[in-house]
Amino acid sequence: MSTEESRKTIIRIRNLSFKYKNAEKNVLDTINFDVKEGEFVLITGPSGSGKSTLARILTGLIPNSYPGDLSGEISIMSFDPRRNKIYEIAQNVGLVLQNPENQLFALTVEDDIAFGPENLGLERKEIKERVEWSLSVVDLQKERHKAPFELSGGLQQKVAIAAVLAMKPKILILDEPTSYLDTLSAIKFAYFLNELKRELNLTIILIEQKIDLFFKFLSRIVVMNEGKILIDDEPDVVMNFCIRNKIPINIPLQLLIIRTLGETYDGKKLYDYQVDDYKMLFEKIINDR
Amino acid sequence: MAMNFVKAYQFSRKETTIHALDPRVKLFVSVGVAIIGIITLDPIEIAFLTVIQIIILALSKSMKLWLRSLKALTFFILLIAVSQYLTTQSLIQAIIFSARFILITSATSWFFYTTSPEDLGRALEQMGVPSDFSLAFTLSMRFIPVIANEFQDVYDAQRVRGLNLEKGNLLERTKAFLPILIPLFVEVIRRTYEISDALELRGYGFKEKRSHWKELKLTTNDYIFLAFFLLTIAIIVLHRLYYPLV
Amino acid sequence: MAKISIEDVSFSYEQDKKNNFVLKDVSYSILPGDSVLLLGPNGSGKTTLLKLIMGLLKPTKGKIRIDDADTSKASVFEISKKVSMIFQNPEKQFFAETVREELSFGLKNRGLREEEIKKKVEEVAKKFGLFEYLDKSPFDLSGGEKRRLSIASIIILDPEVLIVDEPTAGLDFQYRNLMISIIRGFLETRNKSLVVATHDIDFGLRIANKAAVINEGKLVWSGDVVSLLREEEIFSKGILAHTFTSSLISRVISQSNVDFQKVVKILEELTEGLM
Repeated sequence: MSTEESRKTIIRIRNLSFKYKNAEKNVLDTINFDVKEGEFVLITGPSGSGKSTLARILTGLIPNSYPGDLSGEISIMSFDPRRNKIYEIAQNVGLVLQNPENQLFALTVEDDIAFGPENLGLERKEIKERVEWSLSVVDLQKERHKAPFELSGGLQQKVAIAAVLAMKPKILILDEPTSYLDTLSAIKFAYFLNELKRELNLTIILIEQKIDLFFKFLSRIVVMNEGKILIDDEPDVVMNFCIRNKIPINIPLQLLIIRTLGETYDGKKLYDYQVDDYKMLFEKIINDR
Repeated sequence: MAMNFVKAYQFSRKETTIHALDPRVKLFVSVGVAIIGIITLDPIEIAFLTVIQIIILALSKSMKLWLRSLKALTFFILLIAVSQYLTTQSLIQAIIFSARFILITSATSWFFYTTSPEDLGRALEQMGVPSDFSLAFTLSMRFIPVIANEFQDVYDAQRVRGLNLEKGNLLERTKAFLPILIPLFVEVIRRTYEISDALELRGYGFKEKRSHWKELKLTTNDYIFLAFFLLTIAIIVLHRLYYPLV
Repeated sequence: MAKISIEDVSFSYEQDKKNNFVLKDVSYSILPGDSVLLLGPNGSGKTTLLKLIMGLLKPTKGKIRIDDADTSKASVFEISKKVSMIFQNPEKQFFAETVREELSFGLKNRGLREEEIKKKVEEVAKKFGLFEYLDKSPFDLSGGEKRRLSIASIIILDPEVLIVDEPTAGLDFQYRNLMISIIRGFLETRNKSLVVATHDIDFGLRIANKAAVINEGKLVWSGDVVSLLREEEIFSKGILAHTFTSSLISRVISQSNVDFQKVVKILEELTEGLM
């Protein structure tokens, strides 16, 4: 973690504002946002706060597909969506959308993964290698000939990720990937994503409401509201800020229990406590009433 | 009813020799048979070709699907028979015309049962159709069932709110469809945006000519299949020479 | 005051294939005042069961009775006089030009008189904070307003049993709380009952008193919510997964004998201390 400072900044955004064409208000308002190589950043906030719009800018969908007024300084691995096309950025930044149904086009898993590399016009051998690599990274070799729609929600999400990874991005952005997963699949997904990040040395930007599932893996949390960044800092600092300022987001219950007892805590050790430790703490709260 | 038509032509993944044939060969044969079906009025030729279609359907393990789709199309078959009978006053004529319809639908249905939309897209693309067209085709095939489900969802939601499509006169009935069609339309537009985003994020449009990781190549089975088809045509031509239609 | 009995119900989508049942031999009763949490992994058959109760699908085998009337012989329209259903992402069903029209739709279909409709619409609009938007287009509302409208247009039908499918999927903190207060508002009237299918167990624990667990089309457990939390096997077998909150509640009520409702209340105060 001490090497964090020396890491390269790969996303640098200064005074970014954006207004969709024909809209009255800015969706994003003077945003400053940096991401360093290898970080795991979680962006959260109420719906309509501008999270998905930010993801669209980071991948070039804005302004290439969604026109509007975009101002400020933007450097995404030295790309600028105002100058660069989506497909140029797509080979560096991948975006996994919320609903896998709309981003899987082919009738077999392997064909779907090959779709991106085919678009890039790669050699047959290179495509085959990428398909094999992506399948192994997400552990879907057994499902390669299956139709993506026959798979469970969790596996569909993995296919969508594999398909994006076949573009060989350095940064992976995911927009609320656990929304339609059951609890068990969502928990497994959190571990999978962290493992993937470590294995491939990815930088991950995760838009998510379920903070507690990912909390222990995060390097930073960014909280957005009404087009602005409210706070952008280490997870425990952000959580303290949100508790103090009554920001309506899903704060992990563990933190609330500790805070209520007025104890200070060390964010890194939060998950070292066992449920039974929290049970004792919680009973203390009940008895205090 | 719309669903019946969708199901009549839905691809179903199976591992048979017919499924594994080159989509271009299948397209050629299926279109070929359909054309003969349109041209011919000879009952023996129609019967002969229909038997061959049934053999292909059996080989592709799609008999059940075909019989079900015939059931769904009964109304149209009867309609053709009745209208032919009324115009020509000939029972034989009526039977021939409905038999032709069955032949044409069976030739096209085994093609769709055994050819995945993307194989078809691949075939079109490698036959020189621009990739935008073949992609549009693949995507529409892929999303037809999705939209059909969406239709069912909206229909169900409005039925819960008391919508009744079978009440009132024609105008009222047509108007009753609006609470289904408007939400469906809104949803389709929303989906279209998301799909187009997803396509662009996967680099679509980067190269004018996409590459193909699986190139279509004719195999021995394809040649055998083609040979049988040519043999069939030869038999028909011979039949024509000996028994010209009066 | 409606009572629903599900008797040995099996369902398969394709009538001719006997081997793939989405639901198999499910029996369960929903009594007036019950608030049932229907749990189970994705694809276990929860939504299918809800649609069967609503009469949108008919059982392949077995019977569902609503107050002794067999649903397979009743139309959805008839069933909808007692039972109503809120679908996942209910905002998708909007079609009308105004909020007023959207709210009136169900009542009009029932053939109510104009004045009666007007009165009811305004009453419900006030209750759901939509009164000032009555002449606005549903499509121009904010996310929270849309959600309120979509639910109001079902609640206005005054169902005795309300069925809800995945009400919190994709919702943020505030909208999730909104759903809880709406559902509690519905349950305030005596003898109304609720069936909610969800994988959000934390949400479910705040509104339900009964629970039923479905896995691979079979009803594998049913009972009250408190005993579900005392049940270890279902969670250890991987059919359901505990969240941190549910495992904490489970431990507190089973090991320390604290009242379930009290625990839920304190937990809510903890999280809503924010608001």
